[in-house]
Amino acid sequence: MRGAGTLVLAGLWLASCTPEVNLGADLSQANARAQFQTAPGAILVYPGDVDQPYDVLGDVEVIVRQRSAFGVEPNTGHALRGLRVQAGRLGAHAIIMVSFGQPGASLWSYHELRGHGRAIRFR
Amino acid sequence: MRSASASRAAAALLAAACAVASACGATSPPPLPPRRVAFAAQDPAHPAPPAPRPPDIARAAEPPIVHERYFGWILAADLVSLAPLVRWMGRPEDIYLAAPSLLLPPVIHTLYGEPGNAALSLTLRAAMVGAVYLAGRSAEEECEDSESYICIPVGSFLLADAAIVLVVVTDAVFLARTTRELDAWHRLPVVPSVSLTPDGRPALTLGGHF
Repeated sequence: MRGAGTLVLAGLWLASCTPEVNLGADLSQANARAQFQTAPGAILVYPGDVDQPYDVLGDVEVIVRQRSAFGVEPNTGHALRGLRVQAGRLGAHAIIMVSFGQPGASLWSYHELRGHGRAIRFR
Repeated sequence: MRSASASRAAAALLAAACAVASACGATSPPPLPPRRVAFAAQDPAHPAPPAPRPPDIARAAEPPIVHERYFGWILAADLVSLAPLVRWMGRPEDIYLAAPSLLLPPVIHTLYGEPGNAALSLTLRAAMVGAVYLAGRSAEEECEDSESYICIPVGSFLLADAAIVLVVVTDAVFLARTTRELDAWHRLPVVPSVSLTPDGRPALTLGGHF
């Protein structure tokens, strides 16, 4: 019983450490969708545009927030992971024009970081 | 409820509240440019090396997900239903006065497709209504025993206030959130893709509208 309680507490503590990830998307610029997903970890990330012809699968957005005063402060690594997860669902080969806003406080958290990029699939 | 104008209004409300607070330092990145339609023509004799691309996995693509908050609707429902609830403290026989506060927010959760959150919200609100009832009875007893001309049952009011604030904030901040898929994705044309079958053979997939 005591061990279970410790486990629950440890789980809660760990959950409060990882930043909260909020995903979003905008399909207004999308011109196609893919048939299959891609592995998020293998998706390429470019800060600018690329010269290869591509189809746009959608603009992917992410907001990462520190959960509590003891939580990990969100960084671009957390945000990129969120963008890759969303792009992987869409079957993207790459995320281009990735950019981030200024980190800081928001209504929901003391530390928040917003980012976005365009999920594309090479032709 | 899920219209784009509603979400824009919520975002504008949030931005306005944030501006008033003037403590919000987090900014959004610059907007993305329109989709590029023209690409530089390649010399067929010297084609550029193809960009590396991750392989497809054997799992169908899915619509993008969007995490949303709908705290505005919960707060609006509470704004409407709090006056009858407070009135109910003095008239406990009129049980219908407590009904909006008990039921409106769970109905909103259900409309957003979150039955689990609706059940949790109903439980919290039942406890809140119970605490408000007890506070009302406690206030009556406090004032019956009082010999002063004006009776202000501070302790009972504080108990009711704490119960209401705790539940309303918990509901609006922690429960009023949902994850949905963008339906517009299904209307986009499918691009041809090459993938590997389970036995390792390449498969070409084409899609289109007919």
